[in-house]
Amino acid sequence: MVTGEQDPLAVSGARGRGAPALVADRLRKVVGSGAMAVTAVDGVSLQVQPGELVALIGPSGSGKSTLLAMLGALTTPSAGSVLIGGIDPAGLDEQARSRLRAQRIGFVFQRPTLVPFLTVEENVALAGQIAKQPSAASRPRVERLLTALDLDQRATFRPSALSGGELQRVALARALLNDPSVVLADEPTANLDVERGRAVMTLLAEHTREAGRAGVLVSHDPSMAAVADRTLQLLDGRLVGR
Amino acid sequence: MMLATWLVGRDLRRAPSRLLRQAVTLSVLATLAMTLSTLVDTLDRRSTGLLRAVEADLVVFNAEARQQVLRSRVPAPGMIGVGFVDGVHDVGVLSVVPTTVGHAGDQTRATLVGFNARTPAEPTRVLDGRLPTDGEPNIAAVDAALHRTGIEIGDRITLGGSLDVEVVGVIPEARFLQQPTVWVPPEVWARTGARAFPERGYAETLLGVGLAEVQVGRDAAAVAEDVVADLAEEDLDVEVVARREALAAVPGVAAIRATFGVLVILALGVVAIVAAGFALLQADRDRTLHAELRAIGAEPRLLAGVALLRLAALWLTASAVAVVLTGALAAATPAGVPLTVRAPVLVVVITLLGAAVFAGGALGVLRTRRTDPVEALGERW
Repeated sequence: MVTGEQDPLAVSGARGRGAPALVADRLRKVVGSGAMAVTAVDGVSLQVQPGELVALIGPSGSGKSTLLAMLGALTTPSAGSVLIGGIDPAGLDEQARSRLRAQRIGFVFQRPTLVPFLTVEENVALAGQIAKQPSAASRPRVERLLTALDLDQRATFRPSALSGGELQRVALARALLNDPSVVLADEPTANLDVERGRAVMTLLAEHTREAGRAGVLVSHDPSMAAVADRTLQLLDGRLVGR
Repeated sequence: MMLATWLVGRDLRRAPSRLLRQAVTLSVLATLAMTLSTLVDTLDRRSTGLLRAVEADLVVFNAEARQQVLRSRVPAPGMIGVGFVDGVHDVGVLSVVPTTVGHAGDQTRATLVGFNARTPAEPTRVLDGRLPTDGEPNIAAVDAALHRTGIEIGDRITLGGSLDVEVVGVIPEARFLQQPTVWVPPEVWARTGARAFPERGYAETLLGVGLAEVQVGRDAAAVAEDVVADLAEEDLDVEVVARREALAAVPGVAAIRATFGVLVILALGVVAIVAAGFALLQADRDRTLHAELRAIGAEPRLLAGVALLRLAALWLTASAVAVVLTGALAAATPAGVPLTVRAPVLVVVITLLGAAVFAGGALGVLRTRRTDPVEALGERW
């Protein structure tokens, strides 16, 4: 269908010269209402440049998940704004926000849930299908990612046959498939041994630095956080250290 | 939709047990609904097959008969007059009397039907042979129910224990009040009736009910009023109703429809509740997965599409199993049990099952669409 409207994802300058890939401006999120209202994130501002990997640390309940949800356009801030490649997701409808997440954002969860009846390679390729990428274009990338994450021997396995660490790596491959401009990762190495954790961090670092993408990484592991270019500390919903 | 179809196809191929477990439960309920519907349909048709075998728009009863075919007596000349009422295309007369059919040493209870050939009172279909015509003595056609007892064309049968007639044709099953029917010219009917029940005054001039066909494009209700008014001028007090009303007035039909109708509706209600339960359980089980798929860009309509397609697969599987089970049950049931499976009944039940499954499943689809990914993932972040 031809309409006079422009694709909201096509108007951005995206990763222009010097333009931050991800901007959060005085983000605030209040959850609950009345006497039960809690300010989960309170006035957080940050910028992540293309090629930069930022580590976010903080105790449980400090607002990391809520902040990641807002940075990933999964939830709308109570106040403040987020710009992902110059786009404010708050101004998009649900369909366009889904497309923004599919094409520009890669999520890695601490305990990923994969589609149980799809194989490893199908789970990874699913991200491309959701982003409406031609399968011929994404197939070589699926293979490359599985090889880089030492999963090529597991390509035809179903998730139930994988270890926790393997699931985590499949989720990482899925997150990186569409070459997102922003990767949001929550404890991506929590279930991995040291060697595989390092491999994951290397891949994340490669994706951000060499490909010029932005990454936000939540981790409790100082050695993993040390891989990041910057470390931000969150406490009671506020940034307390950089 | 293609991606949703692909996902559901993979799910069904690789993890069929999940769907099958749910389908088995629904199949039992669907079989119950189909069996009850078939039972009510068969009982209804075995009561009203006589009036279904003809193609009249209006049925003319004498007023005292209270729409009962067995009790109605209308004078033949009056019915001839109905044919001249404006809007009536054609008219015929149908008369019934209980009788017995003797054949090869066996006696079968049946209903003897006197009818005018080549009028709206004539059966619309003949399976084999031909129908008797007016004035043919000692000739009869039998319905398929009698045919199945071994009566063939060319056989001689004894009506009411005394009148021998030759069978010249077979028509589809056209029972009346659960009994098979023998179709004869009006004079044979009157003769047999008069012998069996001399006190009732059966005669060729006092027949059962008039059956009128309305001209194309005319309002049947208005024509019915004209018939009543026309006959009133000749001092004939009649009641004229649409054939559908006459079917409903056959003794026992209203009770059969009401009783079994409630049971069928109850079965479908349980189907809707069970489908809702399955869909909600499925939505809850997949909540985290859906949240994560939403996070990687899956649109809510994709997830809703997957849920709807899964419901469709569940509905079709349960319906297919239920059709097979109902057919097997009907085949294994003795012939006397009123359980004759008909495709239109199954189609109606399958359609209603679909409505019940999707109505119940809509709750699960709504929950899937409304899954808040942050809330679903929040504990783990």
